[in-house]
Amino acid sequence: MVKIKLLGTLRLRFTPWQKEIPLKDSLPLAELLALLEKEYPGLLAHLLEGKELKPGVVILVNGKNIHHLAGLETRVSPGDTVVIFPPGAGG
Amino acid sequence: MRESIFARQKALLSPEEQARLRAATVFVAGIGGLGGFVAEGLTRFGIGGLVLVDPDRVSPSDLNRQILYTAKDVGAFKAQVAKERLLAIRDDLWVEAWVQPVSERTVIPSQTKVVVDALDNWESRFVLDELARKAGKYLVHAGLSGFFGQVTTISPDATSRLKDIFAGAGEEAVPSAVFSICAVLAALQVQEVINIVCGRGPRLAGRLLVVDLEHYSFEMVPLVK
Repeated sequence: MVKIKLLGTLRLRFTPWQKEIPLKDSLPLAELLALLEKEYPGLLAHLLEGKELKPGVVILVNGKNIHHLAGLETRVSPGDTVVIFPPGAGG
Repeated sequence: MRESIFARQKALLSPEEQARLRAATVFVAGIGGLGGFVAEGLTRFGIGGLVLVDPDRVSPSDLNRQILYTAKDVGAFKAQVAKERLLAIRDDLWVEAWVQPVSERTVIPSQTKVVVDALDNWESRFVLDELARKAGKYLVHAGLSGFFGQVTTISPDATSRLKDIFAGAGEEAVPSAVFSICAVLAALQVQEVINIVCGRGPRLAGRLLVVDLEHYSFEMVPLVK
């Protein structure tokens, strides 16, 4: 099981905002996002530009930004938590 | 005079903590939707000194949420108007108004206890983060978009930096901003500054609090360095 949390303005478009995805083995984050597209139609278009993460999207795997892991190739394993959100820039 | 201002918080803050507040200076970067609330909140809590940094003038579109300003202030520099307003609340406050942007050349005064990130773009935030790191100061961050936002604290040595946590964050041309989200996020920043200055320790270091006023949700996300 992997816990997915969609936060910030993503919650306006996608419900439920958190979900547990059954997972037996680890897989790259890109593949997990493809699985999520089935649960949240339209999500990939919000997150990706081609095969790259869109500017403005932050993904944390177990509390660490994937830019400091292996990006979309970061391995996600059962028990992990993936947080996806566009952090607010304004002040 | 001073005693009467703080009478209602005597049960919450010890005399030592109130004295710590009076001895502390806080550097507030950005005196807009967040920074105005933060500066006023810290003033009313009893902070000793504030450095207010903002290059902008008050515009009509600020008045939906920026509590330090009124219609008569349109066109004036925010930092200067803010200083006058805060001194009208407490004339024993030491306050400096810096009408300038945050840049690599900005010098955070050595007596600063905490730096507050109330800026409105990531580029400046990452510069401020680096200034705070070099100066060895806590940085209390907040950012918002519409009814959503986030708060976290960067400690001088124990947490990831802002640029690491928010790598990939992007600018919005003109983010929607309203009174309610500014008030909530800034109140959380004030509370965090109070905790740090009073020696209670930061509560949001290594934790990201994501606030959602659309659904009344507060989600705490643990962060890993």
